[in-house]
Amino acid sequence: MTTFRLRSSLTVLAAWSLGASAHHAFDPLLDAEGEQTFAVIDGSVRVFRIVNPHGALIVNVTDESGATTPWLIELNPATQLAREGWTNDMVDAEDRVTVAVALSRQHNRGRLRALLVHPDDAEAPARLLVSYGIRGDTPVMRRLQERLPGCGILNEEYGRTACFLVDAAALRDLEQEFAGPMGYVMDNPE
Amino acid sequence: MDKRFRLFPASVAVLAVVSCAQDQSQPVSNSAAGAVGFSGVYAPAPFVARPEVFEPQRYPFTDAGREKHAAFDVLVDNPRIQDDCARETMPGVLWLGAPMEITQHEDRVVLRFERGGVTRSVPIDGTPAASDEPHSELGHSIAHWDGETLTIETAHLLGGTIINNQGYPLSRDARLTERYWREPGELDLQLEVRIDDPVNYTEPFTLGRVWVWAPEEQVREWECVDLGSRETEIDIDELARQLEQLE
Repeated sequence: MTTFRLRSSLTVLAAWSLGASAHHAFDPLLDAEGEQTFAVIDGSVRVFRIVNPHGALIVNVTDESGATTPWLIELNPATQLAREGWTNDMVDAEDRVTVAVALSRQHNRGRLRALLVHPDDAEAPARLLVSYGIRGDTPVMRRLQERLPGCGILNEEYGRTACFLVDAAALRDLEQEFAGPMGYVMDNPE
Repeated sequence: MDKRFRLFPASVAVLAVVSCAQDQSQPVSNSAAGAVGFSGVYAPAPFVARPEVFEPQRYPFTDAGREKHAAFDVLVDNPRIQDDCARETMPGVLWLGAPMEITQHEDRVVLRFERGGVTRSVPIDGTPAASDEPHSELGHSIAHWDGETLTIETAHLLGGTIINNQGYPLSRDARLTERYWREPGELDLQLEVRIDDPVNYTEPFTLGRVWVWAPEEQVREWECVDLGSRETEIDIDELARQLEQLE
């Protein structure tokens, strides 16, 4: 696995590459070895809409200098998301989020791998929504299912997306066990 | 009816009809339509975003076909890289990972695909296309029953590729023969498509897939929102403003 930093910024936490998937209808950013690259960003939700052919999450990411860059993160089609129970109000504007993104060739655009929606109330659990590259009976999905309770809001029989509740202690444990930014949703954590 | 909203880069949403085949005849019950009844909803298998497509071990390219395959660049030749709402085409729509509904009528069979809001209304024992009929994304199709197998023959396509995102070329002169059948005791639908395209291939060959019987599913309405080209930088702030206006 190759690991590299996209930029020296606090906002783009990390980027690295994993095995590529050849059949998705977007243009993945590949590294020199032809493997797909991922980034983890922290930011504030500008808008979230489940639309076809790709749901859209736009997150404002602010760097150390105070400059804000919007990121476009795409999801599955609205028809499928709705079938699984996703709604437009699952993620609200101004929500603070940490997002693992499968990068496209455009900077600040990609597909959603995992979305951690931080709670307004520090006592409440965060919601971890996982999607691209994790679906089905995968090691990452099994890892999360073994450690975290479900949100109970998605029909996970389709095996495409899932929602977990993560309280502060569980998040700390995951971060210790699986190193790297959102290492717990990566196939090969650092 | 499919709806299409173009959010980007235009500042005003545009509603356009992608396909709107209207069926005047009433659906018939399975027992009354042909030797078997295929009416119902079918879907990919669970846990599968992209269904498995059974492809030939080796595509029998002509020199021209091999050249086109080698030159295929998904960023240039896949219209969905530039336009999320590019129309689905035959036979690419057959391999997609969303549900499909078949409705049998006495004089036609209607195949409605969720992805892209594509509707194919195919006459049974219809008339082949006239030579001067315009080519189109879905082509001109006619159907007939061979015992318990539904056969659909299609010509007058625009050409392009056999499978979206993959560079196996298809010419405007290609002819497709779809065969749908059920294995004994099963409700899943087997699909085999024969590709006859002398421009790109030295001999006909077949691809296939399984449509899983899914009576609990429905084909949902498809409203398309173009999020902008994947090849060039887009104004994400402007896109956000337009998405915010959607309910």
